[in-house]
Amino acid sequence: MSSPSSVDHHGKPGEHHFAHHFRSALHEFVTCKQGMWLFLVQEVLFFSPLFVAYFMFRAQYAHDFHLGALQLDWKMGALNTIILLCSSYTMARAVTASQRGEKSIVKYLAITFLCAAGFLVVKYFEYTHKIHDGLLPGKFMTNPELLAEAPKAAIFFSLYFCMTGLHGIHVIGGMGVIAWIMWRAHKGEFGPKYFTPVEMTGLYWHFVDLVWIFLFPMLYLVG
Amino acid sequence: MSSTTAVAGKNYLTDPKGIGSWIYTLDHKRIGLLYLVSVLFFFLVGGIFALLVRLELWSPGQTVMSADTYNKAFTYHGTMMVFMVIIPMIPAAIGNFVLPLMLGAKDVAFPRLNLLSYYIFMAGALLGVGTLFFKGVDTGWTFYTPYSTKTGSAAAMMVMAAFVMGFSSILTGLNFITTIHKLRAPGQGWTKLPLMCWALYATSLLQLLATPVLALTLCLMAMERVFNIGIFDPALGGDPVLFQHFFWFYSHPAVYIMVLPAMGVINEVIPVFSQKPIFGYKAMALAVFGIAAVAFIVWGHHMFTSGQSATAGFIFSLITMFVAIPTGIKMFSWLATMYKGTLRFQAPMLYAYAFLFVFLIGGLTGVVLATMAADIHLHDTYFVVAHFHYVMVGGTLMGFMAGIHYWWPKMFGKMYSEGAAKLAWFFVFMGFNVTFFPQFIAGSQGMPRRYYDYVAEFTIWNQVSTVGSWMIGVGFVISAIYLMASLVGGRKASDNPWQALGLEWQTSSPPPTENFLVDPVVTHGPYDYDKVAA
Amino acid sequence: MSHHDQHDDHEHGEHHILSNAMGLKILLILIVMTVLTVVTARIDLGHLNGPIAIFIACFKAMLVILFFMGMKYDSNDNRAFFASSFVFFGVFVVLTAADVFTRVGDWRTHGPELKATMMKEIQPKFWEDSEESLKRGATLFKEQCVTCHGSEGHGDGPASAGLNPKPRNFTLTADWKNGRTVTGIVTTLNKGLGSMPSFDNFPLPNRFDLAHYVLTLNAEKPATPTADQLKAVGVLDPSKDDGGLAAGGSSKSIPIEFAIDRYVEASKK
Repeated sequence: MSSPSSVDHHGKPGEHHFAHHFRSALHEFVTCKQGMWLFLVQEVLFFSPLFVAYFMFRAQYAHDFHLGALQLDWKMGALNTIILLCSSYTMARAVTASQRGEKSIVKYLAITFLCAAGFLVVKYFEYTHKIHDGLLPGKFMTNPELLAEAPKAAIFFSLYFCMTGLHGIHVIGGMGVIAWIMWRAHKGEFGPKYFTPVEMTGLYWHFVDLVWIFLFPMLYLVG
Repeated sequence: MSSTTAVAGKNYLTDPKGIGSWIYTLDHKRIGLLYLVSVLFFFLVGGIFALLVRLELWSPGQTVMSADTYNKAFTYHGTMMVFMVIIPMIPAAIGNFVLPLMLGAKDVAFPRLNLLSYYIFMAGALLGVGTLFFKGVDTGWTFYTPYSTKTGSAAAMMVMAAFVMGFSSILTGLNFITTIHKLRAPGQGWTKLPLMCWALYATSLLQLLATPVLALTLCLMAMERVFNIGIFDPALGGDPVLFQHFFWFYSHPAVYIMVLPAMGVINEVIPVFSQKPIFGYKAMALAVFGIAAVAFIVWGHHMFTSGQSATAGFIFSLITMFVAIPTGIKMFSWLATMYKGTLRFQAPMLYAYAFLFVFLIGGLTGVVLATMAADIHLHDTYFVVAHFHYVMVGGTLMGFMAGIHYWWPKMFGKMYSEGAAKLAWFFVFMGFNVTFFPQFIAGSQGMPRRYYDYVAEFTIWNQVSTVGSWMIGVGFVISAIYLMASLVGGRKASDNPWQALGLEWQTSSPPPTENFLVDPVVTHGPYDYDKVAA
Repeated sequence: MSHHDQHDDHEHGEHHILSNAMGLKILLILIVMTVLTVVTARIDLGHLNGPIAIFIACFKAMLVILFFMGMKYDSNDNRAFFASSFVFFGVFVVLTAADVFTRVGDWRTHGPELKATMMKEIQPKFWEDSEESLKRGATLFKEQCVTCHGSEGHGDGPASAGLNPKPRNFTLTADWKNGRTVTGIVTTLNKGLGSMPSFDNFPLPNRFDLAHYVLTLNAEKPATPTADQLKAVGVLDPSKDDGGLAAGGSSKSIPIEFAIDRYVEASKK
């Protein structure tokens, strides 16, 4: 694929080749950063209907939500929270390493990736446990206690699966991007002259952490 | 202003050559044209569905199709026109082309994302059109639950199509905002920005902030349909009105995504064709953001009869009234711009005049509908149908036609036949009013919308309306003919055939691939007709 | 440091580097806050539990945004953009809540009880005229009918301006399409008439209340309805006190769920 309108601009030798419609490598960087922040803006709004539904239904079915939340294992939720917070730290370490041209960038990206994988493993155990107990969304709810005492808990579980599921999809997507960036870092593409993709990945990853910071208390610690 | 025509014959259309260079293009001008062709194709299909709908409504009872088919016809008309035509029409087709030029930039901020946006749009659009082969969709473009979650039609596939197209819109908005912030030419300060850019900025904010909510809502609806998760199902404790809240949180800002770019075009056309500076530049820029801001907080006015509480209805009704203020500022400023100007009557300006007339009626009838007590009776009648066609067709489509005729010489380096354009304008403008004005009457007398049958007393209004639809069709056929004819045999256009002051007129028609052969420096505002001779 | 290569004077500060020590400090605070969240959740603080948990979460979020995401050192436009997303999220929550929490007699949670309450309040033999019926009818008329029929029932309400034919003038007695009788008016309320919608979503006894009230707008009194006329408008069994309504459906219109199911069936063919 070739097109003259995107020929990279050759600056001084050894410098990053930034795209032709930018004035400088820094101009390209700040533009990319703004683009990424705007992407995160739409992500906030993308998650918002689930949060709105959660607030509306929790207020109306407080008792059923409480009973539903008791079925979740808060320790696993707390563990996942710590895992993601640590992964944000290691991601920040990776970004700093790329900005300083340090070799540890690949190591920290790898740890971030493993934390994400660990998060998914915990979620896998949680999900299989729910399925085993019949704690399923909507019309699939078969758990006898909840059906008897808290029929609207089915809504709680609909929201639980949708919210953690959507978040999980974002974790998986993030893992893919981190793996790709890790590969490029391994090839030595990043350094003080060019670290944009690492920092952008970092912004995205911190956002994924942000969502979980809210999901944990909202779903696991109700009442 | 000296032009920058340089190497003979080399411009973004001719160079680089080959179909591959179009399929993989990163040039915003070419991407704009790709969108233009696609949007016009979907306009044709959506328009044919409209003609079919109006044909069925020629007489009461079954005329040419069954009720089920009719449900599908109006659903496809609405869905295609909203998602595949009116939303991308001005921003993606015209905006992509002119925005970097107006800013003095070489391209948008993220050219590859721009191309991706186009392909995402096409993927979603083809998925949507593809539902025609899978039993079609009959829910109306609003996909209200519970019918949409239970119907045997291909509703899930259609909402996934809308989901995909939504991301095209989001990414275009993201691209435009960043472009406007980061890629302005030296001297292109915020107060020298053409109002079209301000309009595209506000539109982009709406696209970025509102569309994701629709995306997730449609996902939830599809989940409800396939997995019965119960969020919108009262039998499981859910709330069908919640779907409407989620849907309209996007869809109301969506109508401003449709109309603000049109206002942007009008902002460009009126000063040029009055040879006068725009009246109240700052107020006009602020008004566009005022409209965008109010757009976010009024969605419940679509839900007065849905089971929404009276308190919420009151709040939404009250806030909706406020949108009239910035809109009014714009209307009066346009009039003030024309006052004592040297008015011209070429096609772009004719469409601008049409816009002013038609959008005024549409806007005022919007105030009627915003009045909760009146809306109880008018909701789901043809009054609403007439209102939104007046603002969407009258607003966006007239704005689009004005823009296309204004920037056509820049895009293609050719002039179309002005006489043919005036003839087409006549059919479009008169046809539009003949189609939709009777619908106000029928609606206020109680004719419901989305019904394929009606009582005999409404027959005359329906027949007049159907004849009007044929007139519109004729107008667009004539437009297609003379515009395509101009591409083959039209007079060559100069760099600045309208004697306008914007940056895009300081480069050749058509522009070179890199937009400007010499990096532009802005020394005057785009509307300084009283200070600078073009 | 060599990061000055990407450095332009007027864009300084656009890429602040987070030091490792600072990053670790932030992580530790976040972990402590997580522990705090769990601890406070295990203490019963009634209605405060939710807000406290969200408040701590917001504090954690601010730390991630300001430091890990570098917002503290970023430009104002990026800050404004990100903040705006939360503003509009707030708008979404607040205005949706303005509807959901102000609904009166929510049919989803109170449907069966609401119906029972209304049935309890209705007088036995509700199709007969009475003081209470007239009082209810007057209130319902003011709420539902005056927009078209006018406050005195002259057919000159504000919405009547756009209607042709004009709404019925109740003070006159000639030419009522369904007849100027109790059951005639209830028939109109059951089925609608011309531009007038049907009011069959109202409980049948309330429709009779309205009919009783409307008939007082002219002194002339119509005949009492026969049992057959009553049955025709939905009083299933006039010999019973409740008209037989508790036993069977109260109107001749199809329940909405039934109608939806029929539509869905048709669409699947």
